[in-house]
Amino acid sequence: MATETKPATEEAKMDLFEDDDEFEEFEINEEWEDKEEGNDVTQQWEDDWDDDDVNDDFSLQLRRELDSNAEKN
Amino acid sequence: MSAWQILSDDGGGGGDYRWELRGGHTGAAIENGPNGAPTEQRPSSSHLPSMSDLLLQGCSKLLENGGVASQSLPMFRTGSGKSVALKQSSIAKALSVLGDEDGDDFPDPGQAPVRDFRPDRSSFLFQTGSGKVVSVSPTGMERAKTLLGLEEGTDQCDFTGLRSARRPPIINTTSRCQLASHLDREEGSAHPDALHSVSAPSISFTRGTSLVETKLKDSGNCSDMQPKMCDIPSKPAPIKFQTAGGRSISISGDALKRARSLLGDPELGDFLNNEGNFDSRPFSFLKERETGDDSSNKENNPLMSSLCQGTLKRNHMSNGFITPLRSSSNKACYSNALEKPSFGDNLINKFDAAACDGTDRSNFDVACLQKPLTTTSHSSSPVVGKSLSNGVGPRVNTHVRLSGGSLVDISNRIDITCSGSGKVEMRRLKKASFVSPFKRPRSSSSSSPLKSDSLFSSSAVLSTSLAKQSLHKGKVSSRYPSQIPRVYVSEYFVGPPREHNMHIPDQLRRIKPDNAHKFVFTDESGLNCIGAEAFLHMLVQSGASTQHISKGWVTNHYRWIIWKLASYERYYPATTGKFLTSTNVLEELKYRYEREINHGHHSAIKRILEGDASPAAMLVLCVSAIHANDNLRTPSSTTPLNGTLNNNAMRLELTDGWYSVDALLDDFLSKHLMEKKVYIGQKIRIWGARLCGWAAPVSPLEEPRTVTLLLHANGTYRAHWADRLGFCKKAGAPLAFRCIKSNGGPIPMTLVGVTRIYPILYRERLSSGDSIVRSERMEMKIRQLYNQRSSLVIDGAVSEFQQSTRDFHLSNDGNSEEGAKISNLLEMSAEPEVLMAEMSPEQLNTFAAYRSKLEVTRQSDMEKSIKKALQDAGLTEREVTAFMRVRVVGLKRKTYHGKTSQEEGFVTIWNPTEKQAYAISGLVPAKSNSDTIYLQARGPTTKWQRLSSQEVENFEPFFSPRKAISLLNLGEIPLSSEFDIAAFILYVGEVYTTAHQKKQWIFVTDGSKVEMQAGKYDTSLLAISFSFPPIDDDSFVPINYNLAGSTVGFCNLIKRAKDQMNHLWVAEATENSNYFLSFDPPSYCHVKEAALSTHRWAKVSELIIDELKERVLSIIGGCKS
Repeated sequence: MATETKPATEEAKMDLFEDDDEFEEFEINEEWEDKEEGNDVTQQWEDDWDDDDVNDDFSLQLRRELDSNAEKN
Repeated sequence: MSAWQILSDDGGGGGDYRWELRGGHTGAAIENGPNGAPTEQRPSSSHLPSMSDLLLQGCSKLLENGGVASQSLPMFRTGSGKSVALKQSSIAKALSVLGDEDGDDFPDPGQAPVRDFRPDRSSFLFQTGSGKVVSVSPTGMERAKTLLGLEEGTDQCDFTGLRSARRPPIINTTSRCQLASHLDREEGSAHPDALHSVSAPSISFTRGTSLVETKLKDSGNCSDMQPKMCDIPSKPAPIKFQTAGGRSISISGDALKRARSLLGDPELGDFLNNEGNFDSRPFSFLKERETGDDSSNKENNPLMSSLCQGTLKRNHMSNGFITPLRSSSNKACYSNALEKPSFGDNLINKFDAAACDGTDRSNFDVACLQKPLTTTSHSSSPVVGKSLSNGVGPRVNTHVRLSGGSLVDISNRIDITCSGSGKVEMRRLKKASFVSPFKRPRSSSSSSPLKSDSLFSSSAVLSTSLAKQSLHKGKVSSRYPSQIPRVYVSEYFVGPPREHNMHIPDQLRRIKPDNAHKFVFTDESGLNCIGAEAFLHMLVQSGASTQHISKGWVTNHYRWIIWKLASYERYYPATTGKFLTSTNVLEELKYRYEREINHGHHSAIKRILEGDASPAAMLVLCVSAIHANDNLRTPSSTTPLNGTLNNNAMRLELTDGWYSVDALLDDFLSKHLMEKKVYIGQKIRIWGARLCGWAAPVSPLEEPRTVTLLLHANGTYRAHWADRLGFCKKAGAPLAFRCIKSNGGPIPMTLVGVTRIYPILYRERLSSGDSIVRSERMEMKIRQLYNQRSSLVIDGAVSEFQQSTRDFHLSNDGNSEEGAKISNLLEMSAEPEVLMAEMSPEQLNTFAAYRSKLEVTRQSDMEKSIKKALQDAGLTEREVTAFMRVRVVGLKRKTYHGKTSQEEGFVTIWNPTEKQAYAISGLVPAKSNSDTIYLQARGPTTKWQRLSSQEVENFEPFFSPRKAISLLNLGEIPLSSEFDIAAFILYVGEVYTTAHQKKQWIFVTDGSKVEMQAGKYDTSLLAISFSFPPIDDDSFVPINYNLAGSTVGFCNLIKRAKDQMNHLWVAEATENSNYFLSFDPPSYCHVKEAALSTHRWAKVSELIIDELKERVLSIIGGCKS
């Protein structure tokens, strides 16, 4: 596997946006007792693995992935 | 040939010294001895020499003129700036150790200390810079001598590297330090073998100040050494200690000794006895990447094989410290040996200069220089600098003696390729990196007395940069912390990643997590490829230290970076061709180095595997591989209870973007995987996961992987594409109650409303292993019964015991016999008081002791017989546990419009109050039916957090308060639902036995009327069935017959199908049902009004009641007939 070296972009990618792997450094509080920390327990995780029509783009993404897999096969 | 000398800067002994290279004078000043030994003139100015200087001076002086020491007491200064006076006695001792009165066979200053000592002395003593007296045993010295081939009359040296070196000690200066940088060669001519077989330098450092010797030993002739070394038998048991991470690390005795030697422990004799033991390892902790990554050695990568080794031995022996460092295959290069050279910059400069000087005149192996230079032609590269200062210098077999200043940071990292006979074993260790605790204090924090002088140009720059870099962890990436405000990835890209129709290069399409590390960038010509390895070099050029990262480290991060950048380009067409560039990859690598190495920030997986964080915490990971084993292709149709894993569990690889870990899915998740609901690139949020196979901290780079993350459905959720990877800063949303899978493992947290609390129940575990659940009332009766029966049995046993022990006696010892005699006498006596009055105190004591002993024995025997009697009667101690059930309902957000299912459940727990909503964490599902889930709250692991009324307002109301149902409106209650009622008991049926249980029917009414036939109303009747286990005593009845004619409250009756034939409502009392006669307690007051009303009706309705009784009897009679 190889690709040609591409010309460097004007701006480094790292300066453009914050990646999802740029984790924050913090102490892990498993107790979650401090409600000041934005602990809103009234939100529930409603996404059921059995549901495919949940309220966000999971199923969309899933179908896309399945389709693309089907194409490859 | 170069030589060094220490000169006072101010000329007055003010404490500042500098090193001066005495290059160019080699012919005149140094090589004027008969055998070519370097000698130097002592300058007239007085200054404070180092310990080593003094020792040398003492040695030299004595050698020269018979041992007349300086007139005044010499002083030297330690690295911390402390002045230390050296005693005359110390000099004398040094002399005794070093002195060579006849001046024969003195090879060079570097060898002088061990060169010629007196074997006939009992021990040799000298003082270290810290003032410790170090004794050297004669045998140690002898052995050292033997090993070095310095036996008198032995001109033939075993070591090609030490060959030659016959220089008479013509040293006529005393107060000047000699830094003799000379080549070991016979008669001044370079020995090609010796030079080419050089593989490992030995660097000896004194602890405080005095002696730093950088020597190069030849290990090419290592096999010659072996037999001698193997002669040394004693090998102490390994010593273990625990790291901060809780790992046990064992250190061999030899390693400990070497460590001690580094620290100045005066066990030189022992050390010398054990030195050179090739089979032992100086330290049994090795960086995993070094041990695990053989390729670094194989490829002769100087960056990877850097090491540093130190000792304070004055007379360090070649095999003592070189052994672990040797690489007889001539592969090891030590470009980074002096990781933190804290001696003055000018010294380094001069080392470099000396090295260069030596390079000119000797054919040293420049492999270690050439290698890094193949990828970088930077003359100012720290790699080069290191090579020059540490690799090259020793390589020309330069004996460099340094003094003053604090010592270098001594690394215990060892790269070993087995030498000739292959005695050195590579020992794999788990801990990826271990910083020797005893090397820290010697960091560069203490100031060097040496001051910089800018005499050298290029090499000075190199060494200075090296020194600066080594003094502190150099900043490798300026992108952390970020200097510019940036938007998060989801804001930058706005939409989720999408497969677009634009042409995607095949190369891009082919990049997957499992092959991304093999990806290479090629230039336009297509000739030069840049892969992970090249990025390691680039990273090092940027200032990264190979002490902290390995090829494995770079390859791992390279893999994730390449996959990420390629994914961006693939799914966001605007970025195609812009992100997957070598520049971006390098920047990302530098960023990661900066965070992990310089800032000590560890990603979630690293923290978990290294034991620094719990795997149960909530974190977001990305699926990076699906290991579809053959036996896993079809998940089982049956799912085990409690979310346990079976053989059909599927295996995944999950990444936090930095590292990866294998994960095992439970059956539910495996099923989803088969349904392609889990796929590569998907992010999942896990909560409450466990580690399998983890016993001690383990590196995320360790192969093969032994640790697995166990995932279960109730703690594994799909995450948003842009969710940040790693630990979640905020608490995750509780799992909606309806999403709980009965066999999906523990539920990290859920929200419920408590709708009913059922009466406390008691579960008794029977001796047969079965268990029986009773209501509180039944339990009270059973307990009473048990107590009654027990009392009877005990009474019987006691009386029986008393009868049988009327003539109970103790026997055995004499005292008891004496006591028994007295006791008998007293019993026989008509007037025991008189007898007792005549008894001696001793007799009285004996009697008292006998009585008390008798009593104790009787008591003990009686207890035994009681216990036996109880056992015989089947009345062993009861094992009863109280518990309580609550009915809960899932809370539904007012804004939620999704489907609803399984919203109700029972939790077996204690203490909640009705009408409250809770966030419960740590519930374990037990079983479920179509619409009810049964959960278990297990003691302290389950936490109940009450929601505030404000929070509850977000949810739809769930609570329907208890109220008394009248028979008039019982029809409104759905079948199988619970209801509470206050009713007048008309008739209490007899207990009868069915196949599995005993049953009892009671008939009640509340006086309300229902329409029976056209226009005809009749009083309603309700038949309630009670059932209870058949094990209990026959005399027990759930409802006492005496209750007929009373108004009783019932709670939690279950409505059953109406008996249409008899126009009879039917209800069932379950374990959770309860009845009561008092309506005042708060939990019963809701039926109080109904009870009063019924009571009033009953008072005035005797006739109707009689009629109803007859009707009941007729129904029963009809049933019986």
